[in-house]
Amino acid sequence: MFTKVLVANRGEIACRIIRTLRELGVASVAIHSEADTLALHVRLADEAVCVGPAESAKSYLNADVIIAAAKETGAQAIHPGYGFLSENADFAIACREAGIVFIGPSETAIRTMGNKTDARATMIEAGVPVVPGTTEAVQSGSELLSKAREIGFPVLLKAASGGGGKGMRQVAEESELERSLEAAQREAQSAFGDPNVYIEKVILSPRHIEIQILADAFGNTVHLFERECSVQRRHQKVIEESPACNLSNTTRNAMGDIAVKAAQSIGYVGAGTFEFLVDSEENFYFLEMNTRLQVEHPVTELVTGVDLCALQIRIAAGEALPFKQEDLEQSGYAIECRIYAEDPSLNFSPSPGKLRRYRPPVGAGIRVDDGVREGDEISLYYDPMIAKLCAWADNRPAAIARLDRALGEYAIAGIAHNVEFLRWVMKSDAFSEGRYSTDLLQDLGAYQAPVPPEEDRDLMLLAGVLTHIQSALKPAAEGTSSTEPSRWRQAFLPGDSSQ
Amino acid sequence: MSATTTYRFVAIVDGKELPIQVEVGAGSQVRYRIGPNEGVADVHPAQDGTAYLMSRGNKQLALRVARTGDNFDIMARDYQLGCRLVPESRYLMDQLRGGGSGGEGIVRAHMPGRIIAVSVAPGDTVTADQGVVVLEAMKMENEIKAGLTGVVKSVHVETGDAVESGALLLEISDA
Repeated sequence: MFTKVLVANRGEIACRIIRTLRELGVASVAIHSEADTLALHVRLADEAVCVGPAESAKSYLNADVIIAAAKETGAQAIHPGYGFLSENADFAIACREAGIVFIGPSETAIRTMGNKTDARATMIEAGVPVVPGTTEAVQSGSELLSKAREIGFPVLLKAASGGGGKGMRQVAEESELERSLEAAQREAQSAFGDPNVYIEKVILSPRHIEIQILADAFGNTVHLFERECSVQRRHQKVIEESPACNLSNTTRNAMGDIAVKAAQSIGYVGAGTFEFLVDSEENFYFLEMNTRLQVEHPVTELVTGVDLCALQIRIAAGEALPFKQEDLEQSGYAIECRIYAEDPSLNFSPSPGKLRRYRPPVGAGIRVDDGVREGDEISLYYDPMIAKLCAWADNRPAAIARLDRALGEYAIAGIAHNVEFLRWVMKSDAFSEGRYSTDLLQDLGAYQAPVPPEEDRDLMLLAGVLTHIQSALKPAAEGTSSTEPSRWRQAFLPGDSSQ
Repeated sequence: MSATTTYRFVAIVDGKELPIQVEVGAGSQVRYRIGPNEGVADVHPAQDGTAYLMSRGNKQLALRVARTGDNFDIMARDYQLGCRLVPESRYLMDQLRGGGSGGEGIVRAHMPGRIIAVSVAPGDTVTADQGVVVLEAMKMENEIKAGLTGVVKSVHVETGDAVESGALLLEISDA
């Protein structure tokens, strides 16, 4: 096992990896931008190195400086987390050349699966069903038009080096094609440094179901079942669950078997995810492979009891998988929702700012993966995800109820967030009955924030007014007693009240 | 025992104004009048003065308050309320000074970011739901709409500009 590992990421995933390293008895090195000097992941780590200014391109994506930091601190390996450099083959190569282990799959696997058109070709060869479309990047508007006519509208434009829904555009008809191509290329260029896009047929009302796999360097490859990730807004996942409800065991097993076969066909080592679109007849089509830990990996951990992050590190350190396929099973039910700093009443626009109040929920069956504390800044430079909240229970309705309870206890203020929106989604019939596709959020229509009954609203306003008054009356020396009614007098009427 | 202090505020909730009167005495009971509603609440503030347990009869409500100037975020378990709370005296002064900001026809950035496209020029006719500026923040493109049907009077940004939240982007005059 390594004695020291550098974590080349920030936010909740950096915190999660650093905590796992501590559990493994491995020292951790955090990296941070100038904007993140006091961030939670920096505070959690044993050592920290500043790698550049706030802009990701000059800090968290600054491969040379990050590798130099690893050498300087004596870290033997780098865990890239997700996003940033996690699927960058050149970075993996640079690590190897510097004598540092990249905790992830081989450079070839990253490159092949990272380029969507190569990935498609590779998967077709391995006998994996794929969505009809081009295997080559499309350059010109005229080429795009003829391809689109060939496979039929609606079509989807996707960034060749993309992920997470960025640089992706659905095009309903010919007249929108040119404008969408420009926008998709621009977004692809700015997000991934590669403007190439390709085209795919749109599977109507599909479900997005993915299979988690793990493979060691000794030829052992297993799958850890599926995650249902159909609740998406603008192709960004919002709620994920495992197991997928309303999926036959035959399909579940077939998807798992194919994912294992596909991973073996490319000699894959490490943790990875095969994403599939599943239509209403349970036909499934390969969408893409993510050659890293997924944001939503906790739901798999909760139902299988496997620590994916720890195993990633063990595999990279040359250990063999401690179990076989037949040892794995899904137990109970886990749901994750992503808490974003975004305003549902302003078309979900990002809402950076200071977390004036931040109290995550606790209690049985609840897991919170976050990277912030009260008083921290949600920076406009980075992803707007604040936290991931997971609930586990022995059945789906209980998991939904538990998640709803925990979301109710979540206190976040100072920025706009989607907590009540998530509760609203989970209360819908389509979600609670488990009959939904990636169209769910669109089908649910306009979201209205819940309005408190007037008598509760009055008490809320009263609390605001009392806070206003109290700060005007400060300073009030804090009493020594903690809960007696006399504190009330101290707080609001410092000095003599009878003057 | 009977000494109480009365405070008067104006709350602005969803663009509507509500007069508030609060009577604070020596005990934990607070009498309030909010718009047409009247009541008495039993109030227990927490140590830092930003969390309260309030009860009326057996029903209790745990509340948390976050404040930025006069802007408040008040949280209950099932609701969150954003509002402005201004002492009545100051509110009246502001009214006298003619404090309105004339928001109609002014398109502002609703968050900090970088302008990556401006699709209109002065003289162009726009509709309310027409996208006029694309603002990039937190790795996403956000289309900002005109908000008013009319003619573009002036454009104050160009592609590549970095803008702060609230920055003036363009002005539109009523058609």
